Amino acid sequence: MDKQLIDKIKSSTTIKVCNYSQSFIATSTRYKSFSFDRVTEDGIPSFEYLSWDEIFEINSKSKVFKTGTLIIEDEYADEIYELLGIKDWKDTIYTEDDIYNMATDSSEDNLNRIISLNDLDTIERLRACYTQLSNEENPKATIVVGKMINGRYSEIVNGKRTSQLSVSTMKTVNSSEETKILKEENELLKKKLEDFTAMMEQFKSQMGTNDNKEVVDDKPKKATRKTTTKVKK
Amino acid sequence: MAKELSAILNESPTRFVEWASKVTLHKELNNDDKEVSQSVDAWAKEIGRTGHDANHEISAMITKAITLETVDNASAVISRMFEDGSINEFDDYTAEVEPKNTIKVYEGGRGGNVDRSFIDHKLLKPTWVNLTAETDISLAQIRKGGFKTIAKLVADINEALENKKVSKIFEILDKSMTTGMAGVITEATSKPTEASADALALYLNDVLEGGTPLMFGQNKYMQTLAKLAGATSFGSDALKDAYNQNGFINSYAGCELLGFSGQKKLPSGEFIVPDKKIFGIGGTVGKCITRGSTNTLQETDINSEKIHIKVNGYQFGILFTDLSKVGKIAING
Repeated sequence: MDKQLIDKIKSSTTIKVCNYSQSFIATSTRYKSFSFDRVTEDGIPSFEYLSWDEIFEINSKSKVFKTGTLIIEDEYADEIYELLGIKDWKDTIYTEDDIYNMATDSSEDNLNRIISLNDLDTIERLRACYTQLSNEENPKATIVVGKMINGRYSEIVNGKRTSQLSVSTMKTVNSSEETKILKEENELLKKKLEDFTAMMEQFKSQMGTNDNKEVVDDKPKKATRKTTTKVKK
Repeated sequence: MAKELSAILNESPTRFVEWASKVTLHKELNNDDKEVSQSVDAWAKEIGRTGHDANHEISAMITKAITLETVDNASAVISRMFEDGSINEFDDYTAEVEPKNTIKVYEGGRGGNVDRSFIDHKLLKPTWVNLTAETDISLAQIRKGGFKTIAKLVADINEALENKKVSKIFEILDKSMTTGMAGVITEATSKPTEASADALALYLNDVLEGGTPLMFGQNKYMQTLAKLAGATSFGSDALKDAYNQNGFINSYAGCELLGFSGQKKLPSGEFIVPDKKIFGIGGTVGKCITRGSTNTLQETDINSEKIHIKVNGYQFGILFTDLSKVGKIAING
């Protein structure tokens, strides 16, 4: 970044900071305190215009910018995040869509991601989103995700940074496995039958050329042996 | 000697606990108390000698002590939030929520129909919590300490169960409030600020139905509230006196304040009132129901020369009927 741009950002007093989350957020510098209301039902955030000094001070005292609770919207947003020390901000912060996806996805990767969370901000947002979905009886709110979120929340509140929860998938042999095995056996037998009939055809044609006679259509056909496959249970 | 002891236990419900707490806190005993000490001493040393407690009198003493309620700050706060109730050991409890007024009124033509609105009823069941405690007390200790050991045992078990119950109730209350609710405020820095304290006071005053609202939390947060602009610029003389005397002010923006120690912890390392939270109460939110009665079981182990004591049956349930009367500041800094 060139020095002119840095100076321009550091002297700016109108950087827009928005709150897209569902909670009322209060934050302060040593002189002033700010409050951000909830996002409205239409998705319109509440915002304030802060100066660079105030943003720098808030960032040093709290994690609102690092976790994505408050989002900076400015034409130089990339440079501002880099000056604050947050690299690749688009990948590391949790937006509201990220939180919604984490609360509704019950795959093993996602559960491991929930267990690895460390700060109170994100786990509270996740818990609020999940509780809202399960109160509406939305089928996307699964029980296993709920258990993970509540378990990790209790651990963080009691100060445990490394989690003692773990996820493991169960391996079950059920009837679909058996039918798979049977299907494979059937395929093998079918293949053998095809090979056998091909061999018979070959044998027939060989018999025909040995007698130097053409095969006439009105000859009675030989009865071919039918093979039946018995499926053993 | 045993007759005298049972006479003391039956004298009045609080006699034994008063004596036990006086002994453990090293207060001065009057003549009546000294008589109690003598009889308990003789009886205790007899048990320490033979290990034979025929009528399980230690358990009887502990059970009598636990079924009483000790009144202190935390219990006072809980009784402001929850109504009391009690049921038998094998019963269950359900409650119906008062239906919300969801009747919509339209402006319509005379004699016409409008859409019907439904009143929602919800049937609620409480969350039951069951606490147990076990401990050992060695016969040598009883022989050596006599009545003091018994007094300490009774007072300790009572205190441990009470503290755990209070901590559990606050934990359930904390978990039931999530950040999307109207009364929950997230504070991004590590101490409450004007914005968050004013917002919580506003919410409590809005939902109030008589009386004054109450805000409580650990002492370090109460100290910060005293330095905010709202308290310093509008502070009356009475408030300044309270600050100079106690180190904390006792009201902020129309709400009473109550602080709890940030150093006293349960034996498992948790706080009694949770850290990083300030709670606010504007009325009763539900019921706290005790189920059954506490039982104390004891057994003498002569191989390791101990008496094993187990307390169970301390069961209570929390039922929320209306969570709109509480709020909290969640301090995430």
